[in-house]
This record gives sequence, C-alpha cells and structure tokens, in this order.
Amino acid sequence: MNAEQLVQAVVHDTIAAGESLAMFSAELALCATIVLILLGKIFFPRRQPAYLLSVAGLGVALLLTFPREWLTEGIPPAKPIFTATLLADSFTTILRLVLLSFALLFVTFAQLSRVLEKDEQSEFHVLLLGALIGMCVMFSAAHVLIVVLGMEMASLPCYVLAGLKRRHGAAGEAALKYAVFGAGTAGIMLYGFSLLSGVLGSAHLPTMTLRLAELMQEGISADQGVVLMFAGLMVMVGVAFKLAAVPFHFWAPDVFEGATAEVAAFLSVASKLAALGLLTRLATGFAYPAAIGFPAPESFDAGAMLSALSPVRHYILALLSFTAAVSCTFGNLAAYGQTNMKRLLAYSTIAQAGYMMMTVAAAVSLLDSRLDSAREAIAALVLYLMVYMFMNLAAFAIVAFLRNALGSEEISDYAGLVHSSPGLCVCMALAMFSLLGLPPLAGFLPKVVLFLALIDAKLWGLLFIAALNTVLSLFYYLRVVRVMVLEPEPKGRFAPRIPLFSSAGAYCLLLSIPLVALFFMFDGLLNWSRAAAAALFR
Amino acid sequence: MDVDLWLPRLLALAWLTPLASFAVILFFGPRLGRSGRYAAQLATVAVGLSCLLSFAALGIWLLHYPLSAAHGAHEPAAQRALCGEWYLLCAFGKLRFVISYYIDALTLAMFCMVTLVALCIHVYSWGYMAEELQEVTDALAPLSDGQPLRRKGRYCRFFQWLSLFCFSMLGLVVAGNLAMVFVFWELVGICSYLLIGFWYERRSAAYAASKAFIVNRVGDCGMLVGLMILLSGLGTLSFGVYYIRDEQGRSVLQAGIFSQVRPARSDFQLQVPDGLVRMSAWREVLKILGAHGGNTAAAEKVISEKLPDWRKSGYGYGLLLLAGLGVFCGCVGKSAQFPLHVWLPDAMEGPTPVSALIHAATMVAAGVYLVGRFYPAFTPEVLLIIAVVGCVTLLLAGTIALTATDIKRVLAYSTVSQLGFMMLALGLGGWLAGVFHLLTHAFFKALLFLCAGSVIHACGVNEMPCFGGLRRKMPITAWTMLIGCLAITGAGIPTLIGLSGFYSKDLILSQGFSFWSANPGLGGWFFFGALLGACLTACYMFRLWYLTFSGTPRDAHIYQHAHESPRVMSVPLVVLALLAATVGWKAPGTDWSLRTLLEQACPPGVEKGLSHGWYWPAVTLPAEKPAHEYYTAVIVEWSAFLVALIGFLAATVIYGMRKLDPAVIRRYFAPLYSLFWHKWWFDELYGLLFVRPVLKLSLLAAAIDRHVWDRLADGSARAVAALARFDDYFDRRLVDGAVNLLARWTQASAYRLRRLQTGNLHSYILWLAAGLIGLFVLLTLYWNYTMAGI
Amino acid sequence: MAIFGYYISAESLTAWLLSLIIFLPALGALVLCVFPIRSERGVKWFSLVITGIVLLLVLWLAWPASEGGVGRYSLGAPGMQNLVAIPWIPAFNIQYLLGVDGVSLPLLLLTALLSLLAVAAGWPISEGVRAYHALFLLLETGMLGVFVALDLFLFYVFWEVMLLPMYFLIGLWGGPRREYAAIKFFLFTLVGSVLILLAILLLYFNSDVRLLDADQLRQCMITAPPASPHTFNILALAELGRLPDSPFQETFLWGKSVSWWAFLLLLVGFIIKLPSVPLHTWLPDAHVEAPTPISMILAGVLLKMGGYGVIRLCYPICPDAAYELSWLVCTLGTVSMLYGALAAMAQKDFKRLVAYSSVSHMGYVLLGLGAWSTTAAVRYSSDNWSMAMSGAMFQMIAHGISSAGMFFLVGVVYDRVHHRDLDRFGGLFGRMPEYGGLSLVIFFAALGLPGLCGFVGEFLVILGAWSYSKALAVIAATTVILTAGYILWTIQRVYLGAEYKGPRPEKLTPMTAREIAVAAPLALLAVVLGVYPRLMLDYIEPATRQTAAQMARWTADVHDEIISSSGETDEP
Repeated sequence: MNAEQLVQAVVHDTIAAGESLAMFSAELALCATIVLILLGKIFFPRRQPAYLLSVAGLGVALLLTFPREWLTEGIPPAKPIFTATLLADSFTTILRLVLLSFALLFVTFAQLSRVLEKDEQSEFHVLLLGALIGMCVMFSAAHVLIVVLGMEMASLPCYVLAGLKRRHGAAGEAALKYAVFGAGTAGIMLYGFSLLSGVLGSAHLPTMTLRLAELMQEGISADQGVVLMFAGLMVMVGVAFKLAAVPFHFWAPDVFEGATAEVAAFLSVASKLAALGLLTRLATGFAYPAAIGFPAPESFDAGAMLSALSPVRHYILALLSFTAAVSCTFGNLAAYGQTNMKRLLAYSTIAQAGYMMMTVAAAVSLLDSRLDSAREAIAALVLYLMVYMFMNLAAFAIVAFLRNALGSEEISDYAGLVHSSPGLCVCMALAMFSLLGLPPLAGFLPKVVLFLALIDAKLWGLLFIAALNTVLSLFYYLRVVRVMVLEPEPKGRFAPRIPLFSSAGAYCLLLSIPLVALFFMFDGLLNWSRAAAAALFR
Repeated sequence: MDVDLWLPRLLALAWLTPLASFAVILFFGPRLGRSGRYAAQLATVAVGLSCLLSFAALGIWLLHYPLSAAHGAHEPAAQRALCGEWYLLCAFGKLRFVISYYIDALTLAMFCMVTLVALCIHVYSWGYMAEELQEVTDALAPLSDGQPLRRKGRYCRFFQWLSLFCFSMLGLVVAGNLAMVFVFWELVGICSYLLIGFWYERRSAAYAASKAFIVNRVGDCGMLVGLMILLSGLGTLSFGVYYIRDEQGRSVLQAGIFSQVRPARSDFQLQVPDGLVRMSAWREVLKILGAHGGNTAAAEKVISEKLPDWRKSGYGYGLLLLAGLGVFCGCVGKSAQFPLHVWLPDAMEGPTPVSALIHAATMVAAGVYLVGRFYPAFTPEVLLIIAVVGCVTLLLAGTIALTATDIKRVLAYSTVSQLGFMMLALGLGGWLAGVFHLLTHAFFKALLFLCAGSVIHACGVNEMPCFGGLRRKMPITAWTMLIGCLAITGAGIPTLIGLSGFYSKDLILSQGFSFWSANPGLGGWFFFGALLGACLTACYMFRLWYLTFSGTPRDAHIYQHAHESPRVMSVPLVVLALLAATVGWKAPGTDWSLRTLLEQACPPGVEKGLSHGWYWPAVTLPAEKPAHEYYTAVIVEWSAFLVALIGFLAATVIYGMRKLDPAVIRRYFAPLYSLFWHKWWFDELYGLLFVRPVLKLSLLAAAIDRHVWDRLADGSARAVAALARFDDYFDRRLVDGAVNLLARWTQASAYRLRRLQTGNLHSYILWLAAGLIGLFVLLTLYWNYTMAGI
Repeated sequence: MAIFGYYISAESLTAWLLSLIIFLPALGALVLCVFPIRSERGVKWFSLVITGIVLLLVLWLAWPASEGGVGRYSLGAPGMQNLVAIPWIPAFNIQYLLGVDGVSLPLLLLTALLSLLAVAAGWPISEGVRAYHALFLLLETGMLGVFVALDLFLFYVFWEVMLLPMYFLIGLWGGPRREYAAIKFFLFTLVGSVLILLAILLLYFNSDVRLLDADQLRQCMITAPPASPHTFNILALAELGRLPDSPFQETFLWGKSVSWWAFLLLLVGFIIKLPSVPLHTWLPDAHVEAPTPISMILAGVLLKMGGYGVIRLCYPICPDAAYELSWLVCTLGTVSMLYGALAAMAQKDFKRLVAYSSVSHMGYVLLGLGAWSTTAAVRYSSDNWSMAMSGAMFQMIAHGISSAGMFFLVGVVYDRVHHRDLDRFGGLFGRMPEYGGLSLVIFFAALGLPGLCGFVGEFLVILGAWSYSKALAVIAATTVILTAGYILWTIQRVYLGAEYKGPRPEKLTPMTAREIAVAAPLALLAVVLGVYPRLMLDYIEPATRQTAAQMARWTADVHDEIISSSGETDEP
C-alpha cells in the first residue's frame, strides 16, 4: 500500500469508524499532561506547577475513563481498537480507574511527604505519568509487541524513579539493580514472545490462541511442544519479574529498601496492578479462544478449540499455581526476619502477589467449563487489587511520614510510638491487620473471595497454602504492631508527634477510613469488580 | 382431718424452720445480742419448734394408722406411705427433678429422733460453746512465733451451721426421690465439713474436714452411678407413685422406683423393670428394629412381647444390681463403713456437740437410713454384700476401739462398729432390726458423746490416760454415762426387760441366728461375728468408763480443776439418759412401741427374696418373723447376755479392779496391739494406694502440659521463625550475592558513564520517556498492518 | 451499607433493640476515641454507664412477655425470637440477620452482666484508661454480636472482632509475660478462625436454598428469592443439613462428606476456644498474664463461645457428621474434665489453678452437648440428651459465674500482696472475713455443691451421659472426686490455717465496698441459680429440647433409614 492509503487507513481507523481515540482518551490526556508539565518546567522554571498539573491531568483522565454509559446501556462487549492491537473492555476500564485513582492518591502523598526537591518535581511527575501510560497499555494489550512496549514504557520510568534520591548511593544501586534485572527479564520475555510468534505465525494474541488451538487439533509435534513450553516459561519470567514473584523477586527487597518509601509504594501497587492485568490477559488469553479483533473464520468452533486447548490450560495452571504458592509462602516466611520496614513490606508485597496470582490460576482452571465462575475469579482479582491499593499505600505512607519524623525505617525505631502519636499507630495497625485479613477490615474481603474462588475451582492445595499463609503472615504483621504498641519507648529517641489533624496524619486517616468503610461496601466493590470481569470470555 | 394434706405441711414446716434460723443467723448473727449470744436461743427455739411439729405429725399419723401388734410386713405397705411433690426444679420430657416427699412411719420416727436429739444437743451447746462468746485463745493453733492464736469468738456461727445441718438432715429424711436425697446428702456432707473445720485455725481440723468431704465424695461418686442407671432405665428417681398435673392440667401418674421393682401384682417379688431389661438388651432391640426396617410400631410390639423372656434370661438384672451397689456405695461413705471408714475418727476434730449430733446420732446414720429406705430395690446379692461390709466393719472398728486412748475416738469407733451392726442386720434381711437399732443407737450414742464432752469440758484434754476417778468430781456425768454404756452393750435381763440397746441388739442377733439356720454354710460367720462384736462392745465401753471415772486420778492437776458441768449441760444428759433407757420399751398397758411403729414401714416381700446365684452363691433371706419366736429368742438373748458379760468382766478385771496390768497384755499381744493401735494401717495404705498416685498423676499431667503441649505450640512457632530466617539468608546471600556482584559492576560502570556525561541523567531519561510516548503511536499504526496480518 | 437502609422485617423497635444492644458499646468506644474525656474517673464512669445500659436492655429483652407487661421474650417458645433480617450483601446473599433463642439469650445475659462487673473490677487500672475502656467496649460488642448473629458471615465477623481488643488488653495491661501470652492467644485463635472460615465457605458453597420449601424459607427469613442458591443463613443451613438428601452429604475429599469436613473444621476451631485438651495450652498463660477483669471476661464469656458454636453450628448443620463423630466430642470432653482436674491439682499458682479448673469444667459442656443418646434402642426419646444439653448450657452459665468470681477473688488478694503462690497464703478467713465468706460460696459453686449453680449443670450432664456411653459417664462421675480434691485443698491452703504465711501481711485489708459490689452479685447468682435453676432452664430447656428432638427425628427419619436399608446396626 502507499502512504496515503496508510494515512487514510489510520485516519479511518482512528477517528471515523473505530473511535479508537475515544477509547484511548485517558492515555492521551496523560500524554497531554506530560507535555504540559514539560512546558511548565521550561516556561516557569522558578515555581513549578507540576503537582497541580498532574493532579488535573489525572482528574481529567479519570473523568474521561469513567464509564458513564454503563449505567444506561450496560456493560459493552470487548472492543478491539487501533486495529485490534489494544482491547477496550470493562476490564481495561476498571483497572484504569483503579490505577488512575491510585495515582491521584499517590501524587498527593508524594507531595505531602516532601520527598522531592524543587528541581525534581517535574521529572518525577513526568516519569510517573509515563509509567502510568505504559501500565494502562500493559493491561489493555492484545498484541505481543504492545505488551513488550507497554512493559518497557512502564519499567523505564520506574528504574529512574527507583534511583530518584541520587543523594545517597543505596538508591542508585537499587535503581541500577532494578534496571539490570528489568532489562534481562525483558530480553528473555521478548525472546519467548518471538518464539511463540514464530511457531504460531502471528503476534496478535487472539489469533495466536486460535492458531495454537488449531495446532493442537492437528496434533502437535514434540519439538514444537518443547518450544512452546519454553516460550511460555520465558514469557512467564518477564511477568514474574514485574510481579516480583518468586523466583524473580530478589530485586524487590533491595529496590524497596534502596528507593524512597514513596517510590516503593508506587512499585508495590501500580506495577503490580499492571502486571496482574497483563498476566490475566496472557494466561486467560492463551487458555481460552476468542474471536476478537477479526471476523471469526468459518472453522471457528469454540467448543472444540476449548477442549483442544486443555493441555495449554494445564500447563499455564501448573505454572501459575507453582509460582503463586511459592511466592506466597516464601514471601511470608522471609518477611518475618526483616528488621527494615520497607524490606518487610517488600516481602509482604511478594506474598500478596502470590495470593492474587492464585485467583488467576483459579480462573484458568475454571475456563474449561464454567465461564461464570471464571469471571468470578477474575472479579476476585480485581477486588483484591482495589482493596490492596489502599492497604499498601497506607502502610507506605505511614512509613514515609515516620521516616521524615524519625529519619529511620528500622522497625526497632518504631518502639512505643503509640505513646507519642497514637493516631498514626492506629492507622498502621489497621493497615497491618487489614493486610493480614481480619474482619471487619477491608483486607478480609479479598481473602474471602479468593478462598471462594479456590473452593469453586477445587484447587484444594492452593486453598490449603492460602489458609496456612494467612496464619504465617500473622507473625510479622503483628510484630510491627507489637513493636509500635507494646514495646517501651527507647531512651533518648526523639518521640515524633504526628497528630491526626496534621496534613500527614490527615492523609493517613484518609487512607485508613476506607480500610474500615470498604468492608461495609462489600457489595459495591463486588459489583465493580464483577463489572470488570463481565466482558471477558465472551 | 385430712392426713394426706396436713402431714406434708407439718413436716415441711418442721423441715424449713431450721433453714429460717440459719438464714437469720447468717445475716444478723453477730448483732443478736452481745457477740451474738441469742443466736443459740434462736436456733434452739427453731429446732424445738420442728421437734414439736414432728411429734404432732406423728400423732396425726398414729390417729390415722393406729398401731397394731400385727407385723406390717404381711400387709402391702404401699398405701402406708404418703408421696407427693412440693416443687418442680426442672423437667426434661418425662424426666422430672422435684422437691418431693415420701412419708411413712420410718420418716416420722427419724424426724422425731433427729429433732429430739438435736434439741438436747443445742441446749447442751449453750454451755459447751460458751467460751466462743468472748475472745478465744486457741493453744492448738500455734503461730509461727510459738504464741497461741488469739481470735474473736464464733458462737453464732456454730449455731448457724447447726441449724443448716438440721435442715439438711431433715430434708434428707423427708426426700421423696433419689435426686433430692443426693442433694441433701451432699449438703449434710458440707455441713459436717464446716463443723469439723469449725476450728479451722488448727491444721489437723482443716485436714480432717477436707478428708471427711473427699472420702464422702468417693461414696457419692458411686451413688451417682446408681442414679444414672435408675434414671435412664426407669425414667424416674421417685420412690413412690403419685399423681401430677401436666401442662394440660390432666393428672398423670408419676412412676416410682419401688412400684416398678416390686410390683404389687406379682406379690412384691423383685423383678427387673422393663426399662432396664430393654436397656441391657439393646442389641436384640436393634436386631428386631433392623428386621422390621422402618416400621417401628410393629417392632415395638414384638419387643414388648419379648421383654419377659429377656427378663427371665437375666437381661438387666446386672444393671439393677449395679444400681443397688452404687446407692449402697454412697451409704458406705456416709456411714463410714469398712472401706471408707477412715474419715469418721478424724472427724472428732470438731466440737464435741457436733460429734454427738452429726458424727454419732444422725448424719452417719443417714447411710443406714438410706439403705432402709431404698431396701425394696436391693437385690439379694447386694444385701449379701451389705451384710459382709457390716460384719467386717463392726469387727474392725471394735478391735481398734479396744486400743484407742482418745475418749472421743473410742466413741467414734464404737459408732462405726454399731453402724456395722445395723448394716449387718439390714443385709441379713432384718430390716426392722437394723432400723430399730439405728433409732435406739442415736439416743445412747448422743448421750455417750455428750458425757465425754462434759468430761473434756471439765478437763480440757481428751486423753483417757489423763483421767481417772472423775466419778467423785462429776457424778451426774459418770452415772449418765454408765447408763449409756449399759445401753450400748445391750444390758438387760434376758426375755424380760432391758435398756433400749438390749431390744435392738437382740433383734439383730436373732436375725443373724435365723439367717444362719436358713443358710447353714455362710450364715454362721455373720452370727458369730455379731456375737464377737457385742463382746468387744461391752469390753471397750467399760474400759472407757473405768479409765475415766473409776480408780485413782492419774493426773492430779487435771483432777484438781475438774468440776461437774453446769446445769445447762447436765440436764440434756439426764434427758438423754432417760430416753436411752426407755426408748425400746412398750407403752405401759399397750403393746405400742417404737418397734411396732417401725413395723408399719417394713417393706413387704423382702423376706421371700432369694438370689439366683447368677453372680455369687445363692442366699435365702429369712423373714423376720421366725426371729421373734420363743426358742430363738431364748437362745439368742442368753448368748448375747453371756458375751456381753464376758466383755464386761474382761474390762472390769483389767481396768476396774486392776487385777491384770494392761501393759502386760499389750506385751503378750504386741503384733495384734500395734495392728489395732495403727488402725490396721488403713490411712497409710490409702495414702500409698490412692493419694500419692493421684498426686503423682496430677504432677504428670502438669508436666505433660508444660513439656509436651506447650513445647509443641512453641516449637511450631519456632520452626516457622527458623524457616523464615533461612529464607531471608537464602535471599540475601545465595541469590543476591551473585546479583550484587553484577549490580556493583554495572553500578561502577554507570558511575563512570555519569562522569562522562555532563548534566542530569534524569533529564535524558525524561526526554527518552517523551520519545517513547511519541514512538508508541507510530508503532501501533505500523504493526497492525504488517504483523497482525489482517 | 444496607443496615441503615431500606428494609426492616419485624416491628422496627424489635429490629433496633438487638442492634442497639450490640452496637451501643462500639458507639461508646468511638465516643471515647473521638471526644477525649479528660478525667480518668469520667472515662470509667462512662463505660460503666454504657455497660449498665446494655445490661438493662438485655434484661428487658429477656423479660418474659406477659400481656400488658413490659416483657418481650415469650418463654417456652423454642424457636428464634426478635428476628431481624436485613439484606446486607446481596451479591453473596449475606444478611444482617439477628435473633435470640433459649440458647443464646442466657449467654447474652451472662455477657452483659460480666461486662458490667468487669468494668467495675477494672477500676484500679490506672495507665491508658481511655484506650483500655475503648478496647473493652469494642470487645463487648464482639461478644454480644457472636451470640445473636444468625448469618455465618456476620457471626465470623463478630468472632474476629473480639480477637484484636483481647490481644491488646492482654498484651498491654497484662503481667510480666504478657507479650508471650498475648501472641499465643492470638495465634491459637487465628488458627481456629481460619479453620472456621474454611468450613463456613465450604458450607456456603455446597448450600442450595432451592431445596427448601416456601415456609421453611420463611422461617429462615429468606424472603426474596435469592440470586444465587448459596446462603450463609444459619437457620437455612440447619434446615438443609437435616434434609434426607442433604447437599452436604455428597462426598468431598478422601471419601468423607462435605458435612464431615465442615464439622471437623468447625469443631477444631471451637474447641480451641472452648478450650479442650490438647488445644488448651493458650488458656493458662492467657489467664495468668491477663489483668483481673480480662481474666473474668476470658473465662466467663470467651470460653462459652466455643460451646455456643458447637451447639449452634456443628450439630444442627452437620447432623450426620455429628452422629458419626459424637464419640470424638464426648471423649474430648471427658478427657478435658479429667486432665484439667488433675493438672489443676498440681498447680502452685492460684490463677493457673483456676484456669485449669476452667478446662475441667468446660469438659462437661462438651460431654453434655455431644451425648447423642437418641437412638433406636430408647425409642428415639430425646429426653436424656435434652437433659444433658440443657445441663451443658447451664454449666456454661454456671461456670461463667463461678470462674469469673474465682478470678476476681484471686485478683483481689493479688492486688494486696502481689503474689499468687498457693503455698504462701493461709489464714485469710481470719484476716478478711467477708472475703472468706464470698470465696467459700463461689468456690463451693465451682466444686459443684448442691444448692449452688455449679451442681445443676454437672449433675444433669453426668446423668444424661450415661445413656450415651457408660464408660464416659462413670469417668465423668469420678471427676467430681478430683474436683472436690483440688478445690478443698486450695481452700485449705489459702483460707484455713492459723496465719498468713506470705509477704506483706500488713496489706491484707478487708474488701472494699467496690470489691464486694463486684463479688456479691456473683455469689448471690450462684445461690439463686442453685436453688432456682429454672431461672435459666426455662429459657434453655425449650431450645435444647427442640434441638434434641430435631436430631432425634433426623436419627429416626434419615440416619436409621439408611442404616436399616443397608441392613446393619450401629452402637447406641
């Protein structure tokens, strides 16, 4: 084709017919914000409006992405955009909502904790927004290269953010370590993808799945099988890296310890969310044939293909279950030994990621027969993410504020804080027990839906491990609270007073209230997360 | 007047009056007069009132059922008892727990006896406990600095507990069902605990109190088993049959134990109730049900047809036997019979009036009373066991009493031995004999104890070697006590007249004799055992009397201070002495007597009972009738007279005239003596067999707790911690080690890189990011035409 | 949240009464947190008033209804009363479902009373008063909630709500080894809760309300036809469990049915709380380290939740598993009785002794609840079992009174002389007469003396146990000897004797008015319940009779049908 046809196609697909841009408006808004911030940095070098700008941008993005029309005409089916390289469905929308609202909270947090010097402001925000765009792309990707692109877009800013505090070397080391791992795993993943595309002759995920199914129906040769399995493994490595799932987790503790608490919070929530979104897309995408993004061929027989894909499902299930179980247990155990709060939270993050992967595993194992239950499982994942966002952000925020006050992130230095700033300790206790999953705190809900999903999928092994880990995790979550509340104040340590009506305290309170309130809004949460899963597997 | 209406009311009043006085003293005791002196009067008035009421009730009863020489044993006694319930505690379907009453001649006799004795003892206690009115110096409770303890007096508390005891004892007597019996059983137990431990500052008293209660609990545990069997087998614990109103107000029959165990239609022969049969034949029942599938109605029909055959083949008999044994087990505990007799002598740590009232006259008699009350439900095997236990007990206690020197302990052992007599009689089918002796014994034993009390009160010690010749100092005590001794030895002119003990003991012996003639092999042991016991009784009782009152004073100092007790104490002695002498007599002109009264309550059908010999040798229980025939009477009474005389003479020769030196005899029979002196080593034996093992076991349990369960819990926690530490180590060293190298290298290179590049690394990356975003759009457009291949 | 929402089932007053009772303490806690009351006395009085009001409300709730009277509760009616059903989480058919019956109401009364007394007993606590009382009130909400929640989800929430306040109350205001005790308590309880949660979800997943007919549903307060067939509704689950073709009977794992696993998980969860050997070791530590009022609550109320769970959930919902495993329940109970009594006898620490006596006494509860004696051999007569069950329930109340009393009395003397070594007491009767008197009553109540509350429960349980298992009943009967042994030995070592042998004899002042005001009601109740057990049994008995009768009917209609069709017989 020649240039003008191309242009026409682009124009047609982008504006006229496909309304792809409309679906992509949130990301575009973020791009615009970035540009504005950069301009702001250039034109107003003295006082930088970066924070306000990014808040505004995020707000606009939220407004754009908020699905008003659902209220009127229900949840629409999945819609391939940009010529089926991206998928615009309720899953994307909801995850985007969660991510953007998290970002909104997060920038406020970063502002309040005054982690940034003046000249870092705009860089920080630009990086942040860039990463966000990458993440949005990640969990809406329907095309291998978009996947890779998204991951890189999400990762690169994160590497930099990790090294944000260039004053002290730990940050730099963390950043570089992160970058090295990121690059390595990205390479592996890319390799895996190229193998897959090579064997399946396409890079468009649904098409690949179809090819795979046909291949299975025709009968697959041994070497193909080996190649495919290796490829799958390699892809898994990439995702596992983003998830910090065992055994690709070892960057997480060091990076979290090295980077500032703010960045750690961002990594632990946002990139987890994106990675899980991507994981869902990939795992369920390869496990379930769907004619999305192209007219279904006459040969398309969903039932036959579904049954043909069952070895693939088993493979994915095994992969996921193993990784989930190991990260869960390992994370919970390793967290116990930590003395540094951020390291502890890093391991807790790893463990939580394990729980979340279990839901995906449940979904995959349910795909063969009971699609509703599979959607339930995905809904469980989304609900988990929604709650998890608040819990972790709250924990890290408190860590950051305490760092500002104490100049330390060692758990032992938190001893007896309840006497000087009780409010903050209560918030911390809420966060910890919510992470542990006790009612009537929001953290209990994800546990319930997770267990239900596992029971539904009859994954007794995973159920047992999840239950066991709930008990194991008691040890270290409780330890933090114990040190704060039960242990005596050390002599000579300056006792910081962070009342709840200070800005920091108010912020913590703002994050802690949902931890209780959400529990009573179980129904609402559940509806949202079910909406997220509604368009899947159609 | 309507006896069914009035008797229960009177007795209820008589029963509750002491409770009222208990409540009053409990709350206002110290405020009743100076240091609560009027508490005594209050309690006494209360018990006196209930005494009057009891006698009134007796009068009404006699008006309604006049006494006749004819033995009640031959008429069905079912209608000779009033049953009914006062108050419902709780009900579960058909199982009802109620405060109910079972009133017959025995109940009334017990009421009169208890209240009368209690009255005397209350009055006596005014004097005896007087020192509790002011501050007391207790030499027997030394403090750590060697000083004797000084404390406030507890006069009113004493009478408070006495009142509570009277209430409990009367409740026990009037009780119409076993559950209620059990309740008051425990209550009298706790009263005795509190009164033995009245001087709880004394370590020995505290110890004795606990010992008494725990040993009683052992018996109660057996009783509990009996209750279980009866309740689940018979569906009721009530003695008698009576009508109750159910929710709809219809009056329904409340089943009773006796009517089920000895139905009137089968001439009061012992038969195993259906419930027990069915219970023990449950395998058959289930077989039948299984055969009939779901059709339970048909199955039930078959079952009810099969029941008689099952009964014949012995189903349920074992359970009935066990139930009887269980109930008797309780009686053994309460009446200090052979295996569980160890608590009674220690119980003498309590004040003497308590020993008189509780540990001689009434409470310990409760066991015998219950055996008498529950008599119809005992199988012959159980009766045989009762007889054996009684016989062993009476000999055991008699021998120990021979050597004891503490005056109260001698009396305690004589009590045990007399209770043994009663049990023996009951076990041999002599219901009348046993119960009769129970009543007579109450009077003279109370008398003896009160006399001993007045001696102790006078001398301040209770070791007989310190007494002697007190006859001259305290004549009333001496002579009344002599009457008591004569009564307990059963002194009298054979076939003519005697003191109260004479009649009851002869009844017992004659029952033994006729049992012997009915079962030649076995019976002899009981009869001669009883004779030997009678001999021992005479011996140790007069030993006591001589050592205390006759001869020359052995401790001059004590003798100096000895004095006759005040009137308030001596009057009860005289009254009791009169009773002890006369209570066995016929009312002049008539042949009304306590015995004929009791005969009314004599349970029918017992004498025809003979055991199947399923479990151990078959015995025949002779009726009491032949026992009253002339020739038996002659033989028995003369032999009794002779053995008593022998015992008396022995005591006289040794202790009265000092012809033989006790020390010499002691040397001759050294091993026997030490055996008796150490009470057959029972305390040591039990300590070895039960107490120490249980304590060991408890230590073991505690150790298991600390070292096994706790270790398991902590251990698992520690294991987790260790694993966690390992994980952490693994993370930091093995994995990160390698990676860190790499990282450090890259970092170094990065720093070099940074030195090369001037300016801000971040800004570069910033531009890079911006570029990426730009690139994104192009890439999308490019690839969806080439690789996506659409 | 839908609680303050659109739909209220019964007359609104009833609906609000229960909710008010539950949430009033929580509100109080919130008030304590938000509006700082400066003076410590103010805080104490505040929580005293709150708990007092709660007690009054519960009393009003429990007052027998009489025409024109103030009463609310209709005695003798076996079923649930004061039902409140509000859809809360329709997505999972979770209801805000409250109700009381003869099983829960006495425990509710006990909780309210003991909370009030515990506040009074906690008067001397001087540091962190506000936090203490806030946590305490929160705890009370949790306890009350557990007893009235009829929706498993709600039940579990309340169950867990108790956990945290308890942890902090022990861990902050406890004795020297408080941290160890607190974490041990937390760990044991959490393990139990996780098992319970699994069981709950298992039941939820296998439940299917479509099997119930219309009026059954109406009885279970399931008014609107639910979206999904699953339910957390306890009443509905019980109905389902008793169905001939119960959905819980299908095989689930390792050849065992759903109900078997659910029963086991629930049972383990509950006997940790009860506690029963061998899962009892958290109890002595927790008791020894906890402050006096918390020990009172712990022994008086928290232990009861185990028994309550067993009688409310395990037996009604999983009858067949219960029938199969009743031997386990009863054996555990008997072993605990014996073991606890023995262990108590060996203790040197006064509080430890009382703690072990709790283990022993709660064993009766397990035995009484488990004694499934309604077999074909006795014509499916449920009298014996309902007797044993009522005995167990009564035992819970009685133990709540006596053990709370004992812990308080230990605390009284500990506050004075600061040691609990049994061998260094003695002669307290002479020094503190009222103290001695009250102790005598309460200890004899624990000993099971007739005329005091402890007797009734033990007596009924032991009598009822015989027709289930002769051996266990006899062992249980022998336990009364051991009980007498350790209680009397304790009395002998502490109260009797010539003089006090321990340190600080000069501190042994007579009881203060406050202390008497706490102990006297307990002693009084011990006597009243002992001589008038119907005060509680009139509430308990109809409910237990119904439960036992339902189980009997189940045994006859479902179980023995299967057995007789398969032609084999089984042990009664």
